[in-house]
This record gives sequence, C-alpha cells and structure tokens, in this order.
Amino acid sequence: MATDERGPAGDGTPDAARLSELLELTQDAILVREVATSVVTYWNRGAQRLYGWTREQARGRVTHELLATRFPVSREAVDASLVQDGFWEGELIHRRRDGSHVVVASRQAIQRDASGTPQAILEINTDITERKAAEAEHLRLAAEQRARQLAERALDRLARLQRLTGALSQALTPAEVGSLVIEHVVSAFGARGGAVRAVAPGSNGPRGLAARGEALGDNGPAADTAVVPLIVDGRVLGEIVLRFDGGRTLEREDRELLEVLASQCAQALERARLYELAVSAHEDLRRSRDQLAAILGGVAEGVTVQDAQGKLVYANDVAARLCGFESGEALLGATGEEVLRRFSLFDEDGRPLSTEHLPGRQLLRGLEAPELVIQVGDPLTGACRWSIVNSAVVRDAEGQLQLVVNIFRDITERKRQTDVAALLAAASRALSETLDPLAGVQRVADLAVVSVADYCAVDLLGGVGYSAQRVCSIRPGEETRALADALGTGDPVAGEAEAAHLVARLSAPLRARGQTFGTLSLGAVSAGRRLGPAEQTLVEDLAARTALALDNARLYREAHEHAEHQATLNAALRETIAERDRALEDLRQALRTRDEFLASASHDLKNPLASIKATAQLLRRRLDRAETVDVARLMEGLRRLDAIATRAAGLVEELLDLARMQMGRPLDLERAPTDLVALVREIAAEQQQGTERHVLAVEADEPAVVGAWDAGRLARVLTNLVDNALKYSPGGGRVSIAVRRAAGDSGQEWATVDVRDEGMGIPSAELDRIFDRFHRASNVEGRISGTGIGLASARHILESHGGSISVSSQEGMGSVFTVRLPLQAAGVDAEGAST
Amino acid sequence: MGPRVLVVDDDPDMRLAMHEVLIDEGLDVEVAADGREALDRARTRRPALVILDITLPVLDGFTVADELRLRFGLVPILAVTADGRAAYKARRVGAYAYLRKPFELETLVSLVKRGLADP
Repeated sequence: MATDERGPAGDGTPDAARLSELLELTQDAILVREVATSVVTYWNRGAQRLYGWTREQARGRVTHELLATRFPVSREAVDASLVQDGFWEGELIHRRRDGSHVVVASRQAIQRDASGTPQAILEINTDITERKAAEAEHLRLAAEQRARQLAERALDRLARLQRLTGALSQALTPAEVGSLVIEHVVSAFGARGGAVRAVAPGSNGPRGLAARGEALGDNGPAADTAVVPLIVDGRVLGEIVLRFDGGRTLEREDRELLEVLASQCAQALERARLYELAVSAHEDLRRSRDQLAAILGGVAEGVTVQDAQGKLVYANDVAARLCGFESGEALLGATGEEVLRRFSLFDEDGRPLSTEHLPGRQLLRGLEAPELVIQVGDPLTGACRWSIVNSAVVRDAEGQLQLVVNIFRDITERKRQTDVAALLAAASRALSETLDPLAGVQRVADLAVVSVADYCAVDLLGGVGYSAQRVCSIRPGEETRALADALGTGDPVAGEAEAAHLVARLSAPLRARGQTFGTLSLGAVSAGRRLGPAEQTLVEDLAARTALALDNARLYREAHEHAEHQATLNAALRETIAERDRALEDLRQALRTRDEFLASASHDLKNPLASIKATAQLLRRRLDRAETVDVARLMEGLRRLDAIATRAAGLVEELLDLARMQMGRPLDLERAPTDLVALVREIAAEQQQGTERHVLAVEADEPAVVGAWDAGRLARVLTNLVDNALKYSPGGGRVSIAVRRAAGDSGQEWATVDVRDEGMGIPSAELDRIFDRFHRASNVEGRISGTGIGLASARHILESHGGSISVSSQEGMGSVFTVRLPLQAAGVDAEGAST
Repeated sequence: MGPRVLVVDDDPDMRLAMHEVLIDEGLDVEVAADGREALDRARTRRPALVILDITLPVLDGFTVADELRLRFGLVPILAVTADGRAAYKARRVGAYAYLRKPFELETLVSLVKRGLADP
C-alpha cells in the first residue's frame, strides 16, 4: 500500500522525505501506530535495531502485542492520557524479538489532521535498560545498608536495655537508681548533662535525685532540653531531663529508647520506694500491719515478706493472685502444699524451677541473690506470666536478719516487647544474610512462630519477579497439630483450614517501592496467645521488611541477569570481531599470494614472447646479411618459432585452467585415447635434455597403458612433477618414473604413475598442505623459484579425471608423488577409450 | 676468435637466439642453462663478459654474480630479466646495463659491444 511507504510526516512532500530520512538516522526507536487499533504504520531503523523486528515484520502488527508491552499502570491509562493531553511520557518494558526485555523511556504524542481529528500516535522510545539496571543496583545497595543499620540499631537497643536493667536490679535506694540511670543516659545519648528528678508526695515540685554534667536551671523545658516523665501504673514519679548542645533534638528511635529506659527507671524507683517502706515499717510491724497492708495493697507489684525462718508473714493481693489465690489473706492461710498445687514455676528458659531457687530463700540461707526472671504458670489454663523477682534483707540494729522482702514485678508485656524487637532484628538479619529471598522469607516465618505466633504464612501473589506461592511455618506441638494436618492437605483449602483452626489472625500487605508482593499473616490457635494492636504493628513491620528484601532480591536478580546478558553479547561481539580479523588475515594472505602469482605468471609468459621476438629478429638479421637464402636454416628457425608459440599457448591454457580452478569451475576436459607409457617416455626424454646432473629412468610393466584422458593436461601434470623432482634435487641424482596398471575395488582398473626423486624432500608437517594453492614448503620458500600453483593445478586436473594425487616424503631423503587415474572413466564409453 | 662471452639463460630458445646472433658478431660464445652450469663454464675459462638472466633455477643470478666477482674480480655483467624491478635487480648484481625481456637483438649487440670496449 502506498500509504505504508510514507514517513511519519505523512504527505510525501520533499520536506517530509527529508524528515523521514532524519528519523531513520536517529538512535531512538521511532514508530507510528494507528489511534484506534494500535497497528504499526511506521517503524524506523532505530526501532529495528532496538527490537530486532524489521520494518516489514513490524508493519501491520499491534504494537503492544508485538512488543508484549508492560505498562506502568495500564494501557487504558496511557491511552486516556494521550486523548486528554495529546501527550504521554513514561517508562515501558518491551520484549525484543530474541525474547530479552528492554526498558525504554517512551514519549508519545497524538498527531491530528487539520480538523483536529486524531490521525496517529507517534512514539519515540529510548533504550534506558542499562541506566535502570544501574539505578536498581544503587537502590538495592542503599536498601541493604538501611536494613543492616536497622538490624544493628535494634540489637544495640536491646543490649543497652539489658545492661541497664541488670544494673537497676541491684539498686535499693532511689538515689542509687537515679545516679545509675543518669550516668547511663547522658553517655548513651551524647547529652551535655542531665538529671533524674523525683516528685515527693505532697511537695510542689520535683527534687533532684541525681545530676550529671552541666547543672540544669529551673527554667523549665527549653529547645535543647528533652524531658521524659517517669510513670508507673499511671502515677508520675518524676522525670529524666537531658540537655543537648546546639539545639540538637532526639530522633524518633532515640526517643523511643529513652521512653523504655524511663519506664525501667520508674519501676526501679517504685521498687526502691517499696523497700524503704518495708524497712521503715519493720520496727512497728506488728503494731501497724494494717497500715502496711494499706500501703502495699495499692501497688502494682506483688510484695511478700518472710520472717527469718522463711515463713510467709505478709503477702499483698497482687502477689496472691500470681500464685492463684484471691487475696493475701487466703494465701497466708493456706498450707505450703496447697500453695504449691496452685501454680507451677519455670525459669526464663521454661524449665521447671524449685521454690528453693527463689532469691528470698537464697538470702535466708546467707547466699547472694541476684534478680531472677521467672514464669509462673496457671496449672488450669496453662497461661504463663513473666515476672522479675527482687529480694532484699531487713536487719535489726545488731545486724541480725529479721525479714526478707520479695517484690514480684509482672514483665509479661515488657518481655513481649523485647521478643518483638528481637524478632524484628533477627528477621532483618535473616533477610539480609541469605541470597535466596524465599529462604529468607521462610526463616522469618520460622522466627515468628517461635516467639509471637502459632502460625505465620507469607502468600506471594506472583507476577512481580516471583511465582504465586505460600511460605508458612507452624509452631510444633499438640495445640497446632490439627491446623498443621489441615494445611498439609494442600493449598486450595488453606483459607478454610485457617478459618477452622485459628482463633485470631492478623495480616499486612507485602509492599515495597509501590509494588505489592502479597501478604504476611500471623495466627493464633488458642486464646492464651494474644494478637492485639501491638502484634498488628509487628505484622506490618515484618511485612515491610520482608517486602523490601523481596524487592531488593528481585532488583538484584534483574540487574544481574542484565549484566550476564551484556556479558554474553560482549563475548559474541568479541568472537565476531576475532572471526572478522581472521577472515581479513586470510584475505590479505590470499591477496599477497595472488600478487606473487601474477608476478610469476607474467614472468613465465614474457619468456616465450622474448624467445619468439629474439628468434624472429635473428632470422631477419640473417636474411638481411646473406646474399643467398639458406632455406634449411630458415626452416629450422620457423619450426622453432612454431614450437615456442605452441609452448606459449600451453602456458596460457595453464593459466586459464588456474583461473577456472580459482573460480571453482570444472575443467572442460578433452578426453581422447592416451597412452600413459608413451606420454611419460616423451616427457622424460624432453626433460633429460635440460639436465646433465640427473638421470631420468622410466619403468613400465606393460608396453602401453591406454585410457580416455586429456593428453595435454596430463602432460602438464607429469612435466610439472618431473620438473619439481629435478628442481628439488639440485645436487642431481636419479629420478625414476614408474607406470603401472593396478586393480582396485569393484573391478575398477587404475593406471598409476610414481615420480620418485632423491632430493631434499618435504617437511612432514607440511605434507597435507602442499596441494593447496600458493602453498610452498618452508624449506624451498625464497630459495627456489616457483609459483606454488603447479601441484594445486595438478590435483585439480587429476580430480577432474576422477583420479587423485598423493605424496610421501622424508626430508633430506626425497619424495614420491603418486598419480592415480581410472582406466574406465565414469561417463566415458569404453568404445571411445579403446579406439 | 673474438672475446669470450658467457650467455646464461634457462630458456633454450632464448639461449640459442642470443648464442647465434653473438656468433654472427664474431664473438666466442658459451652458454649455460642454470647458475651452477654458468659457474662451471666460467671456471673452465674466464669470460670477458657475462649475459646473465636473473631468474634461474638451482642458483639464482644474484648468487652467480657474487661467485663470479669473488673468483674473477670485475667481470662486466649484462643483466637480463623478464619480471619487474629490472633496474633494482641490475644494480643488485652490479651490472653495467640491463635488458628487459622481450628486447631487440640490436640493443643486445650494441650493449655487449659497449661492455667489451669499456671494461
């Protein structure tokens, strides 16, 4: 169709033609497609280079089908934007003809005719694959670094928390607590100075417990000051004040850590207050038991008091509830065995623990008693609460042990937070450490079921670098067996199995850099495991980290694949260049040898011409001088002229044969009955005339060996072989020529001629190549004149006859060339041959 | 008999033509078909002048020229060659003149006479 030949400018005017030409020259892929159908109507050379489809292949195809276009949102969105703005710009992924993908920056515009009706859409696509790969690599590295930093920070926070918690457990007075905390936070947050202040009951303002660095004024919070309240169970006990240099403020994460530390500090202060209370009440314990109970009954901690014999003399209601009793009175009234039946005790790692190991009992026996983390399990529900137990001794004026005060603080929530932080840190590490993103995801699921959930599932949607699949982990044990069995039956029922066995389930999308990979879910099979708002945050956090790791791995893989593709292309290119270099070198060699051949051939042709000229001039001189014409001498001269002319014609024939051979054309053989024995004798006699140093001997089994051969060309082959034998035995010697008749396979009879010399021979490494055109053996090159075409020509002539030529030689000992000719040539009737 | 001239050429017809035209000029002419034969002939009797084809089998013209000068000192050489770069080759063999094949016999005769007259 004529319209198809027009360029994008459309009307075929000279300007349009020039524009069209320009578009052909640009590196970018330029194409024009119809508005309604997206059918390609123009396709420049750049497009052919970029996509691999020629203009003819592309024309008439639907663009997004031909290129399997991947749109950022959808094709409809691009078209809508084109219709509305007349223009669209963005990135697309196209598939090349070879199946590889290319990222292009695409600019598209609608072309309208004079009346404003959309005519076509012009697309200019620039290959940005390499740039995108570099960007992806950069993003990946940045994200990886960020993930590592996150993980390191989380671990660092944990370590700080643990250090301070350990130290605080030893502090018995508010002042000790204050100085420990302030020392820790001032250095940890790089503050100029700071203070811990406590609010004394009944006073107007806080009093300083401890201060460090620059003394803080009473001017209240300033821009460079951070104030964190110390709160226990909703009561404000005091505050931590930190002052920084140059108006520096705390980052979100630092502030969070400071708040956790403040909560620890507040709890330690509260505990210290309880000790003080217990000690001060000691003197009049019996008198004011009710007063003590009134004070201790209101605190959040469990408090028990033992006498010097270990007998429980006081327990508040919180302590009682921890052991499974309704009130302190009920606990105090129960027998020891009864108490032990009400609860079970485990250490931090979940191993059963004897009450003998509790710090109070240790102190009673005069041993050291550090803070202890315990789990107290309700034998009925199986639910465990975590507590920290601190115990302290109260002595009388003589130093005699009077009482032991035990304080149980419920840390179940705090433990859970720590577990969550540890889980996030471990998950980040697992995701960043493995090269296989799915193995990392599996590891995250395994970690989640160890500490926070009974069940964790990651469902990938597929299509964004990963196939649709489910990675899940289930906490082993009796409780989860039914769920594991149900899930084990296959994916289609996963939703039903979850619905049937999970009592709670939380999910968050796996989203990173605008891509959604799927969802991450946590589930619980029993009511004892809480999944609340804290876990919702955890799920989202885990999902964000997992998605980031998946996206990083995808980008990395794509960048890697791109690099590999480039490497393959480069290797192919290098190979092509090497091939071209080899071909070029072959060509140079061929040209060199051809030049040598031409020089040699012109020399060979000039010689007979020179002889003809000289002989003719000689005859004329003689005719000029002599009064009478000597007819005999004249006849002799004319005969010589004739012979030289014949020789020259033979030479021309030979050169023509060579030209045919070079063009790969067969010889036009002039077959006629030829006696090989007679031919050989003739040649030997002729060659013998030219040498006195050599002896030429002809051996023949039969008086005649006759075949249908081209006598002229065979004479040339044999003359050449004998000539070589003479030329390459410069020291003289015997040259024998043997003619034989030999029977071959399937009744075929052969004539053979061996030409044997005692000359310099041919190096064995070169035997294979001496029949190649222009090849000359290394031991004669430059020493003995020759064109290097005689043997190649001989082979050509013999093979045209259906025969062959071969050689055996030993350097320094001589060579034997063997010619084989079929006695009944294929295609030649026997009658013609025997005539 | 005139001065002795040695004609060295591997083409028998060329050899014969040069031989006969120089005999007609009254010179003592000897012929050789290759380099080795040329040296053998020269050894037997010193030539007054050598007509030397450069492209020869067995021993080429350059070797023959070197050998001749080594043995007999300055022998005038008239170089003959069929291929290109004749002037260069003639200089290399130390010839007093050269002829490019095919050539006029008259030129050959006059160059030989000049070579014999002005050694």
